[in-house]
Amino acid sequence: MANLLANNILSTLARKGNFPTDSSSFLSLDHLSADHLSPDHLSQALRLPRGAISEIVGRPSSGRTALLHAILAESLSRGEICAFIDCADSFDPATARNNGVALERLLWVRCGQKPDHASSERALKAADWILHGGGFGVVVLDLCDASPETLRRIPLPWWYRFRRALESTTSILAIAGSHSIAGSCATCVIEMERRGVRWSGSAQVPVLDGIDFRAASRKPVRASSPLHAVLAG
Amino acid sequence: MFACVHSAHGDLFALASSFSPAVERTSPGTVVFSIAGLGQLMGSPHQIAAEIGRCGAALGIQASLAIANNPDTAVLVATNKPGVTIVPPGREADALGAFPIEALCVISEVTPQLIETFERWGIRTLAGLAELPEIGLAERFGEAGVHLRRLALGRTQRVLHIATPEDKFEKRVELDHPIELLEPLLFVLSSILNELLSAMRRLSLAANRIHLGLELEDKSRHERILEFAAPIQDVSMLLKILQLDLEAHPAAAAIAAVRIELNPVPPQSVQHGLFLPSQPEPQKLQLVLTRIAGLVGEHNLGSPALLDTHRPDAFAMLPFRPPIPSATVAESTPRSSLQIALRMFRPALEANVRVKQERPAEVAATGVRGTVLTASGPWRSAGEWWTETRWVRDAWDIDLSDGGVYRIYLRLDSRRWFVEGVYD
Repeated sequence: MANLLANNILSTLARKGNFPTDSSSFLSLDHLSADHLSPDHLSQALRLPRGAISEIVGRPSSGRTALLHAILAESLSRGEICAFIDCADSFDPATARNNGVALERLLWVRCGQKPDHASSERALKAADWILHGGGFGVVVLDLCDASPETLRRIPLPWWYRFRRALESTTSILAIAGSHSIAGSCATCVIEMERRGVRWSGSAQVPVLDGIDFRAASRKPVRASSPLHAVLAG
Repeated sequence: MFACVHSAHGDLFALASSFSPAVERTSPGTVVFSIAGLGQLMGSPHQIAAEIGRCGAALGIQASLAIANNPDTAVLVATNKPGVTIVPPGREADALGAFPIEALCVISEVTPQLIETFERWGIRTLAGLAELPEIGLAERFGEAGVHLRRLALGRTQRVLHIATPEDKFEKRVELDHPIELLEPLLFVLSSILNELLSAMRRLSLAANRIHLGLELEDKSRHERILEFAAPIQDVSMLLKILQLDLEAHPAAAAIAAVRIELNPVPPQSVQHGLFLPSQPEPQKLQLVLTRIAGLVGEHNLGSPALLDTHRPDAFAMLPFRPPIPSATVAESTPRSSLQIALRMFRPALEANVRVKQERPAEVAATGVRGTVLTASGPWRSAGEWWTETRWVRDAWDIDLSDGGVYRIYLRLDSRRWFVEGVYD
């Protein structure tokens, strides 16, 4: 009876996302391959590890931001509070809401309009305070627009400090950038790649229909097949 | 039972409010309040009196205290007899008898002319008044005479005229010497906050906004108004928030006077559930928000809210006020598919665009350069021509040879091209 009760509680906690669950909370890309993926399916497929750093890397138009929206939307739909730390003031509330992000529970920190060293330093400080304050479900650190030089100048101890702050919490720190920067501190690295652009309509009057993207797990490497999906226009 | 506290100094209302919500300000320096029901919490009237005395000492109040069966007797005893007096039920006339007839003046209904008449009759004490026949007093003075005799006997019963608590929690301190450094200023702020928040806590209130006014040596003023995500009762937390804010917004000159006003609201009470998602602690969250606001500016922090307009990139930053978690979290609107997200360039990048057959063919802007592979447009939009935020433009979605898919637009009023953002 006691075991049954414990199992019920654990399964409920895992379902509610309050608990760093077992391997199911890690990235597994090998069971989904679909067109026009819904955000719910995507977030299920790309479930990030809790209490750890995850990185989402890729070039512009590779679907990084849409994936961040899906992660935020999934966390916010469970009633969590999330933060979006914006290094270059590039967050678009309109498309975020279209992707299901509950804006009233999202803390948006705009660190500057130029993604320079000062802006990234402000973003890192803000992330540090938020993580140490605790209680946030997902904290997004958006460094997508920062130049490689700026990213290289970020001292490594920041990532160790973040990893330490996340330990024994249920928060997720999702770092988005052009390439992986957290090194060994990141538990999960997802590489996004654009495969093509879909246009509808005629050749004379084309209409942007969507972007094909490919999400591949670079860490942990045990997740085999990459996920292919389409972002609707 | 009723208790009356009489003193020329001190915040008697605050003292009384910490024991009862039903407090009457009988006169300046006198409050009377009901202690009915306190017996179960504190014990006998002696123990209640001891507790009132202990609280009064903590507030620095030296007062006379009386406990009696009715409010008028308690007031008469407290105002005429120093120290602590407990009048047992049925012994009111004995307790009041020795008081002079002028003692009745503290009761508002008693006129000085009435007292003068009694004195002419040779009635000097309340005991003398109590011995007069009720019918005779009624014939000569009407209802007022009967009421006075009942006061002297301690037999009146009435309801309290309950005073509402002060809704302003503010204090101004003029400094002996102007303060230039933050650290000594924090000592002053700490004592003011301690006093104001103690008064709030006694009334079960918390502060959701603080107005700090610094009067500077050069006769100018430095005003700061801070609103909190959750009501605060903790002095150290509020002091830390003020410290962070003053570090980010220092005063321009030495400070000659300090004024603090707190806005009272009921404290937030949250019942956490086992299956509810974790939330930031309200006070820690406020501290984090204040720190970040000092770093990036108050206007760059908050929750985005979309405006009711078709104007592109129209949003407002609202103060971050996350809703209290509940077991029934409203699920977000079901979405059919994940849509492309747009990364905005703020401000939009001015671009050189080569147009071929009325379609963009090449684009060059800061960080964006390439040949247009496919272009979708033009998508014309215009609006708000009656305001300064009017816009009229042709937008294009372009797939550029540098690997990005961008949204660009041509402002039709100035014929200038801009890159608005990149789809990602």
